[in-house]
Amino acid sequence: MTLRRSRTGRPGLLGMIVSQLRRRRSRALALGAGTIVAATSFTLLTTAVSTSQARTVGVVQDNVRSAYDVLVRPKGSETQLEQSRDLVQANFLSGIYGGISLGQYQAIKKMAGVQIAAPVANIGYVTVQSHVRLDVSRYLRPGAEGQALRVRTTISTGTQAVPGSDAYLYFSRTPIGTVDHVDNLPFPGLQAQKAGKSTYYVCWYYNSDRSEIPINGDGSPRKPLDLPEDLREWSPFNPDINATLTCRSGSETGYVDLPVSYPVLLAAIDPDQENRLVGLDRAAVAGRALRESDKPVWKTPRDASYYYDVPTVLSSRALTAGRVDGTVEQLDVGDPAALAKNLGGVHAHTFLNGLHGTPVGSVTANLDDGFPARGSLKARVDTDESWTTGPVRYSSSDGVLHPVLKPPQSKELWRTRSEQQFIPAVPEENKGTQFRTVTPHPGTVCVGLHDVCIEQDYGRLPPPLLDVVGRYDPDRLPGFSALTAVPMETYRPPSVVGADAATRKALHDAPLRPDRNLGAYLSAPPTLLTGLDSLTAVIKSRHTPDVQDTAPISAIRIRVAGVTGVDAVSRARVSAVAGEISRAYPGLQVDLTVGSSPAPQKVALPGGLTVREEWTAKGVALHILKAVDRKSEILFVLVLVVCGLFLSQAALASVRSRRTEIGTLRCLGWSGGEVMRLVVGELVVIGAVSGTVGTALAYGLGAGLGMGHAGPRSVLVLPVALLLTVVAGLLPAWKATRLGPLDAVNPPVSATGRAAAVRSVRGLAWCNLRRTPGRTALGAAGIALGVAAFTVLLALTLGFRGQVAGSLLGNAVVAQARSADYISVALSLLLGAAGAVDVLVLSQRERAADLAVLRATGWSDRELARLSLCEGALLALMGGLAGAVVGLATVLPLGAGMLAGRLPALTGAALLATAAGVVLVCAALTVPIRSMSHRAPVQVLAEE
Amino acid sequence: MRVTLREVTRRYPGLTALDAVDLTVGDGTSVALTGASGAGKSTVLHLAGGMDRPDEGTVEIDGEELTARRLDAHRRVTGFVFQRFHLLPALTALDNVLAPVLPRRVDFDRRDRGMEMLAAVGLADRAQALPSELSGGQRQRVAIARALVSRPALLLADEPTGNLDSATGRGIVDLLMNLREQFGMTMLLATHDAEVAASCDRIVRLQDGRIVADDAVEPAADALDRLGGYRP
Repeated sequence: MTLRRSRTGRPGLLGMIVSQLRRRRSRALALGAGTIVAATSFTLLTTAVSTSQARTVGVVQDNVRSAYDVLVRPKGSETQLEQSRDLVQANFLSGIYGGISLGQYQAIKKMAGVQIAAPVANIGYVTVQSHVRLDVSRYLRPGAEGQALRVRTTISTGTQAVPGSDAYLYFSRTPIGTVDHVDNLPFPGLQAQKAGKSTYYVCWYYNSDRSEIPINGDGSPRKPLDLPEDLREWSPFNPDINATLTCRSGSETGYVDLPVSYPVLLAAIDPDQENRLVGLDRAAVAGRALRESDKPVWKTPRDASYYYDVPTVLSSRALTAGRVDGTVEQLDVGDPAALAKNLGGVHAHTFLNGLHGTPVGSVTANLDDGFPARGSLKARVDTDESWTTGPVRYSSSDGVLHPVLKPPQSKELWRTRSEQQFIPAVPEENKGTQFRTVTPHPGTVCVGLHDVCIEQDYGRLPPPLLDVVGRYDPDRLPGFSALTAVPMETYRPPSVVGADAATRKALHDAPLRPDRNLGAYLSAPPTLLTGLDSLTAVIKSRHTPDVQDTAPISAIRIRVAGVTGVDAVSRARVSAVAGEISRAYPGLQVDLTVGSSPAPQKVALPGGLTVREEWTAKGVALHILKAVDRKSEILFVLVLVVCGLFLSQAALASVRSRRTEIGTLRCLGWSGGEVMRLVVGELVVIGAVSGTVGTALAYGLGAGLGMGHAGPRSVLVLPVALLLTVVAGLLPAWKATRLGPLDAVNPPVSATGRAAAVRSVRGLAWCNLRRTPGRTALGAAGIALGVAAFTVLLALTLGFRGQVAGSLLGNAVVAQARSADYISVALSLLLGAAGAVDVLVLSQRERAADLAVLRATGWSDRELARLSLCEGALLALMGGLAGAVVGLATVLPLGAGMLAGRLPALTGAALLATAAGVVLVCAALTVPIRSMSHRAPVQVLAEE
Repeated sequence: MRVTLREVTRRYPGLTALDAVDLTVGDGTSVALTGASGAGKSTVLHLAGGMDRPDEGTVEIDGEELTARRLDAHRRVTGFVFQRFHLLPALTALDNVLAPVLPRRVDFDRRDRGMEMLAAVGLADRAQALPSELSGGQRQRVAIARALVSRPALLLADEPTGNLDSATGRGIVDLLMNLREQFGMTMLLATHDAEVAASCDRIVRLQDGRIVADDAVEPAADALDRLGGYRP
């Protein structure tokens, strides 16, 4: 070996370094390989972290714009549950009727920064009267002179089926005509059939009830005949009360008309603001959209009471679910010739209801079919009565919400104040389970004059006429990102689907929809809209004033000017507006909904149904961005620590393996400083070379794994490798300078624990580990590092998911971050295993002479391999268990909230990682073992 | 055990350690290999002990060629004593002695055999000492006990006294000779020391990888007779 001479004639330090690296090639290679792995991993991991972070921020920013940024509700409208979970209930609007005054709204609308302030004032449910036609022609017997069919109906909704009213068809070959007068009394459109010399009013008796019978001034019934019998139980829910008879004749089709009333929620909006918020005007499908100029018009007809004509727009669909299923029976009518007489008399009910029927088939129809047709502006809206509903309240257990049930409805809810009769065709579904309190608002009994009632209900207003000026299709309203949807209950019912297979089956794989039960779990959204200017005309037509008289607005949805996402400026703008509203009106509930995302909640409904309902988690985007930032910061630190420790181990092991050599140099008069320079010099050369290789490797791997940021980052590998190698080697280099000359002679063997005799290969492996604690600790630290890093990373990932998941946006973020998370976790474990193997390989080299001696004394390669593997496995097991403990201890402070219920899984994963570490180490050790077996023992001993 | 080297050549990069060496060591005899450093003494031992392979020629054990497949088995019946002892630092003296038989089944009690061997080298009382707690001579005694623990048929000793002072070295040689006689082993011993070499039956002198002298050692009594010395 020729060393370059320095000026003093001694071999130069650089020459010594180069010589060392050449002659101790495998040692240099082991450290170099470690440096390459660490530096490349550092680059790839940090790239993966930042790529994942950038993608996450991208997902959040791309989806952050929701329909509105701030939601203002009356105080007390936020439930305790919403407050505790930072949520907005899916059907929050359906339980709020007033609470914000028009003055407050106008002031909020004018506040700086408010771009759109769209109010919604729920007024109450009114009924649209209509009917559903069921065609039963195919069940008519051809040629029969007179026949009757009965259709027994059932109303089915998503969760219940209730008996509906019976419907009858009288079909005669003899024509049935109409008359408008009987004995000079007006009976417009009265159906009459001649039989012999008599005329029978065949449908009148059955379809009349007491309330509709014209009464003479003396209390006796007016013509056409006597008072029809009243055999019915006096209840709005008696299926018989709404039973109807349809009379048809000749070649006409046979059908029955089933009276149906649709409760529609009447709400007032500001047309201009609503158009700007959701483009309501673009959703018009018939007539026209509401205009800012639409106002109630006072009508003074000559032959009727005065009233306000209120312009409204009606939804094109009822938005309530329900189906009518009918069983058709052919009735045994006896003598067909007597049928007209029996139906046209006072005992029509007894007669018809008592007829025996033979089922002959079935008919079915959607309740929606009876809702005024999409293009029609004719809708009979009854405003004599209206109803408001309370919110649904919940209890919560095991993460499942349980709505609190209310008592069954009282039949008095449906009695009109004006005539003390029940309103017609009360929806049968109201007999079902009640989740809301239903409050009736009887209308005034009023004689309108000079804009107000002048007798009863003095000062109030007469019931208005709701004039449908247009129809709108809620489906035409523009969508916003599904990930950041905020409650749009103004137009759509909440999305509720089965949460388990049984529920989905029960719901026929369809979402649960509101029905006509006012106290149902789901309420239909407003489907009848009017302008704010009509509020007074409608609300003051109620007999009893309430909060809606003075503060009719239920909620205000606000868009803030200049908001582009969840960046700091946008957040500040939203906060400023929300803060100003809160300061101006402390009595109002102000929620920031910018960056919100649907957060599915499980709700247990009666009957064993569990549904998933999309509530809205507030501030999800901000929460996610904070969590991502935090996760990225921790990951960076973790990656730095793992790579730094990994290199420290490698450098320490490298220096340890040179113990004898350093001792010799010290014996030869080398100072501590000179030894330090030699060691650090070698590290610099190794760091530079491996850094260069690592640059190419990181670039290639980054490009291969599709990491966009890897290219620029790969140039960082060289300085990172150099820095990490030198910094990591400083401590062991310094320790090397502390080594006394005699330390080189005495191997670093501990004399402790000699009690146990060595009688097996396993025992010898254990003994070797025990008596060389430094070397053992170093090797175990590698795998401990890997397992601890794996555990922390996994906990971090799970914790991040726990923090972020639960909302649609969070779930999307978790899904896109998954691969990067897995790469990080796998790389950390591999890095740990590589560290352990690196140390073990160096350790094997250090102990090469020992193994050569054993070989010289007759140990076979297989026996030596057993010894090495045994040591490696024990080392990895000790390190892995220590790493698991350290990792778990590190993540425990993350708290139960973040890791809720995941600790056992995490412990299991840490133990699995330990097992994986053992396997990896044993597998990796086969390489040096094989190489060792190829070398003659004397060669090894000669080198020593 | 009879060891025969036929036309054995062993080369290392830039050096021919042995050059067509023929050497036979008879069963139960002892041969001392002498010569300057680099003459090839250790190489002969390594080849005879199956720790190295010749580049040319053959090594025969009891007339059979020592092939690669037989190396492990051959090493099990060969004891080796190194100049630098090469004790395993983590093991006690007793465990070091037992190291060769540790990985396999044996038909004797290990501990008893180990203690017997330590007693034979006079170190029964240091059985639990670590190598670092022993003197150089004691370490070499432990190494000798380790070499003999499996009752080898061939004992190879490479400068066994090279790291010891002369008095200690003398004691080690006496011990080796006594044990060889006691166990009836064939022995090859490499040494610089003429006095140590004279303890063997034959002295083979190597120079630059070749045998330059092969002389039988005259027993001391015969030498006295030849010189006309006193005989009682």
